[in-house]
Order: sequence, then structure tokens, then C-alpha cells
Amino acid sequence: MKQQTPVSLARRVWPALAVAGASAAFVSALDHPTQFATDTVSLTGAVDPNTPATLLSVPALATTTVAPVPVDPAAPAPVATVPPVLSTAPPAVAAPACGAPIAGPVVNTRWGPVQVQAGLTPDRVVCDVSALQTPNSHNRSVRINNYAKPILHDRVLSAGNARINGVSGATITSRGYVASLQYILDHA
Amino acid sequence: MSGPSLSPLRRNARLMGTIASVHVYDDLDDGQVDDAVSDALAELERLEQMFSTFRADSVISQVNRGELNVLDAPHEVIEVLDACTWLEHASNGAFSARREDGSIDPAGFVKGWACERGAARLAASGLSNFMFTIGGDLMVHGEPAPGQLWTVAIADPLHPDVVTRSIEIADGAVATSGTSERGNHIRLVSATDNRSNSDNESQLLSFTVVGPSLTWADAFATAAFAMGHKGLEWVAQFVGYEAIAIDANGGVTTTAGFTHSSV
Repeated sequence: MKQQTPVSLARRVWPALAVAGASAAFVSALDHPTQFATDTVSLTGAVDPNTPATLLSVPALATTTVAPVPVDPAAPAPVATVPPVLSTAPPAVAAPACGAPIAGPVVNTRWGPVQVQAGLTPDRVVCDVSALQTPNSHNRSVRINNYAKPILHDRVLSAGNARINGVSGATITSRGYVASLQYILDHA
Repeated sequence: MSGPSLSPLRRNARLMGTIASVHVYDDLDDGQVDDAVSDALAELERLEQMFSTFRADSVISQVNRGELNVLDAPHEVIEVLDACTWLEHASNGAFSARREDGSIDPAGFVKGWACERGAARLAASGLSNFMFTIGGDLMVHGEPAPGQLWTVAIADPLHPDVVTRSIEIADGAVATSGTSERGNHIRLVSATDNRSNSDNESQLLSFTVVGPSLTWADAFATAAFAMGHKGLEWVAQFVGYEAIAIDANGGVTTTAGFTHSSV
């Protein structure tokens, strides 16, 4: 496997991107005259991993992937903190009958295979979830699982009281978990 | 929420190392939905073939081996690398599509971007009301029932006893980044980043971004997660984008305009 040197790759890539982004950057500069005023265009090759590299210091707007427009940076939006709600766990609802567990497919993640099974109510609300397989052959995987497995279990159960259209998850294992669960929802 | 959702027509496929799902709430017959979904999934397969670093014959792999000049790459590759460059700049280096050895790996950007392209193909095929999701990043279009918003649950990485937070959105996207995704495409940028913050701010475990575009919701979640708590303000500067961060103490912090409803 021949590895291209960083220098030659960068020299070939970034000038092209500079050209591609130049006109869009110009238009953007008209809209935001001060935002990038202090920036300079620098074309560098080798990357120092300790330095946040800025190869091309203009906002390169692709032709079809249009970047969102920043609002006035002088007025950052306030941030609201919501404490975790521990005391208002969902009230015990008379649960409808939970169907027999259905096994989802095995989803291969970077850390190994993930597979869940889930039971559904007649309304196709998730009422029981358990993991059939989770990665455990790797230290990192174990660490991830140690918090991911029980958390996601209860998460999904809590969500079972709601009619949800989809789930957004975080870690790679949870993505596998969510994907496996999504498959069950897809086929229930 | 008002009224029951009709059961959607559902399709899925293994894709990009996970599973892509499409739920269609239109009054269409199976054949129409199948045609639209097949078209969208074919597009995603094509993009995966182009971008996957796990496939030796992908365009990215060819570029990284020096067999293909990136200037000769398909326009999609140029578009993605261009957008990655913008994001690297806009995030002050928190996001980067370049590995430390100089090779390129835009995987942290491509999934959301590709998923959005897939959703656009579904819309172009005539679907009006649908959800399209790949491994926890999702995009919704239209509404699941007349007058009804989409409800999307956010998986909490830590607290099993807390009610799952959910958000209700109209057209738009939801993407989440988490601790195990750092490896290839997130670069921590300063002493005040998301390693172990000083003071009483604890490390973030997950960062969810909601916004009109999945490309940018996913990209912002990836970059902002690396920034730690200050990633919230960073996301808030972009019109239409809101974020919710969950830290190791179970604290949940959101941008001011975040729309959510408890379940």
C-alpha cells in the first residue's frame, strides 16, 4: 500500500478547493464583511497534529451543500440548563400485554456485533428490550458497554410510553443498538 | 399531538455499516414506495462506494493510495472535501477530514450528507411525508399525520431513570455525536475543550443537533461535541440549529431555542 505524502496530497487538493470556494467566499464576504477580515489564506502541507490546522481560511461554500448562515456573532444566544428530572419518572401506567420478543438483526459496529431483541404491545409500542449481543472482545468496547448497555435498555423502555417516530443515538454501540431496534420497529 | 398516526409503509436496508430505514406516511401503493426507496438506496450505495475508507476500490481509498488525483475525482468528492474544509475552518479545527498521516477520511461528514441526499431523492420521487434514518441520524419530511409533528427520542447515554427527552419537529434533521466517535475525525482543540473540563463542568457524553439540514446537523454535532460545553454557543450562531448536550453528571444543557417536549 503506497501512501501518498501529506505534502503532495495537500498541494494537489487545496488549491482546487480554493478555486472552488473562491466565488462563494467572495459573496459571503459581502454579506459578512467583518467576519473573516482577519483571516488569511494559507496553503500548508504537513500537518502538525497539535495545531488546529487552517488550510484554507475562507468559508468554502459548495455549490449544492450550502453552509448555514451565521447569525450576528456579537449576540450569542443565551443557554438554558435543564437539570435531569429524577423525581418525575413516568407514572406507572397499566401496561398493555407485551408480546413475545422479536430478535433484531446483528449489526456490526467498529467495536463488534450488536443485536437486540424487543417485545412490542399490540400498538407496536416497545415494552421490553434486551441486548442479545454486545461487543466485549476489546477493552474499549467493554468500557463503552458498561455504561451503554443498561442505559439504553431503560431509555427505550421509558420511551415506550410515547409514540415515537425515530430515535437519535450517540455512541457507536448505541448506533448499532438503535439500528437493531429500528429494524424491529420496521418489521413489527 | 392529535390523532393517531397511520402505520407507515416501512423499508430498510443494510448500508454504511448500519441500517437505513424509510417510513412513508403517504397514501401510495407499495410499488410506488418501493421504486422511490430503491432509487434512494441505490444513490446511497453509489455514495458509499465512492467514500468508504473500508473499501479498497472506493474513490477515497484510491486517492489515499495516490492512484487518483483528487482533481479527477467525481464532483461529489470535491463537494464533500470543500464542505469539510469550510467546517474545519468554522470549527477552528475541531473537525477535520484529514488524518494525522495526511490521508483524507471524510467519513465523519459523509453519513449525514449522504442521508440528506437520500432523503432528497425520496422527495424527488414524489414522497411527501416520510422519515429517513441511518443509524441514529435522521431526517423527516412533511408530517406523520395531518397537523402532527414528528416525535424523535434522544437516547440518553447515562441516566436510565430519567424520562427520555424527546423533540418534536416539522421538516428537519436530528443528529447525535458521542464519546466513542472521536477517533478519526474529531480533533480536540484546546485546554478548555471536552477532555476533562475544569471547574464544575463535566465532560460531555453526547451532543445532539437539530436543524433543517442533516448534513450540517450531523457535522455540527461532530464538531461541537469536541468543543465541550462551549459547543452549544457555537451551534447557536447558525440560524435554525439548536443543540442539546448531556454530560457525565447527567446534566442536560440546551441552546435557548431548543424545542422539545417531555414524553
